[in-house]
Amino acid sequence: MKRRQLNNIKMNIEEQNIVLIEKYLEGNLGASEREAFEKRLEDDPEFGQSVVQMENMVSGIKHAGRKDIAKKLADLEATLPEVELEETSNVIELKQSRYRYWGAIAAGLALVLISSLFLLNYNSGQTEQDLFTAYYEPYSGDLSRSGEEDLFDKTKKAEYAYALGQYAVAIPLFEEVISQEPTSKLRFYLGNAYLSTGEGSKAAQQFEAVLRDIDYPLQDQAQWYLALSYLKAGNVDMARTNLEIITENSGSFYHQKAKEVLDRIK
Amino acid sequence: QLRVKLLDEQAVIQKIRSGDNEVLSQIYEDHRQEFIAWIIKNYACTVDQAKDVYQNTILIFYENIISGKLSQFSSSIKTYLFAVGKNKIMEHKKKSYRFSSQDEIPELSQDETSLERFSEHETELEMVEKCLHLLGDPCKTLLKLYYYQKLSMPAITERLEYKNADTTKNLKYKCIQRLKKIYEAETTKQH
Repeated sequence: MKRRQLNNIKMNIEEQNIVLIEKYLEGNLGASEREAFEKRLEDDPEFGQSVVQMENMVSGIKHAGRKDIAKKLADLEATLPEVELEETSNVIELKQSRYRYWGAIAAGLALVLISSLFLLNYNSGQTEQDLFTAYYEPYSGDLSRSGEEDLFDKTKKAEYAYALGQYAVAIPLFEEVISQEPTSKLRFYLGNAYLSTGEGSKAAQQFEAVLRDIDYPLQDQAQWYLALSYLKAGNVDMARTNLEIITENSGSFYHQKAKEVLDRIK
Repeated sequence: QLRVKLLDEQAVIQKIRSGDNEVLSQIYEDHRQEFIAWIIKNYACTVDQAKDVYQNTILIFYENIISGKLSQFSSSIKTYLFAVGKNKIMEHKKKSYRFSSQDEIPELSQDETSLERFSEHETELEMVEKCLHLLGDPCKTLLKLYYYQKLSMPAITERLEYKNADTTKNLKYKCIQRLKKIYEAETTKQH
């Protein structure tokens, strides 16, 4: 046989192998074909090697392709205007924290700027309060937004008052409902209401309870607010402990913020 | 307003399957504002975190179409994106949740809301990627079109303007062999 013919035949076999391996890797082999393939893997270590090698190549190529798309999207994002955080359209005129997100950020920034001027003159007893004021934003994520106001339902009344920022009204309502049927969601909001009226210790109590309920979803938030509660109450050690819990959790939304506050306490 | 609204939703799937990535950019722009605003409002994260989730979501959407996991829409593109996003943001908190369905967003399985994971380490994948760059075009593009975008041989032939599908097949084989060679060379260099 001429050398060229031999090479061609080898190439064909090799090519067929590759096609077969591809099919296997994508799960496109029929049951009996797959069995035969797997037997061959067992019997022929060289074949096994080429399968592994092929898998590496294919994964690497897919990884490269994926990065292309990811880059395309990131580049596109960079050309687009800033996202607007809009008002929700609501049936009743409920003054919810629609702009509180940005308002609180702006207020927080302003306060950080102002308080950093005072920090030079104040003793460390003031720092926790400044930090608290700079970083605290009341939570408003999952309040019921029903179209009809049921003012005979204490829970709804409490949530309504909270959404309007009437914390002094909301607090006793929440307390009453909790004394009968405590839920973590209610405790979470009560905690926030306490924080908004400056009652750090009471807030801490509520958030501690929320954190013990592993089924309640807003764990990261509760952890963060707990730290802020201790800060408000002037208990720097407990604040630090809880902030450290957050910084240890790289997946937490508050990871960065907690780090900032920790740096400023130390 | 929504350019893609005029496009049949199935047409989106056809386009992506045939290698049109521009429609993906359109979809990205069309749903971006609503999605990001919704994530921020409901899950209390920063704008940058929300953007990350969104880009991840679009990537998953794209790969699901390519892989065939998503072959038709039972609802709308928007609902699908929100369902993926909801799942992603929950994952972010590393806990498994029972959602109360206060919204009409359907739940998708773990499989439908994750990118395919590779068994190789990041460093190995990066190495192969580096070799791919060293290999250069036409191989680099051809291999990505074939293995990542899963385009058919005829489609690739048309795209890269080759003579026929056999030519393409042949080239693909050669490219894979060359890639392997470069990889061997690069990895032995390091020892």
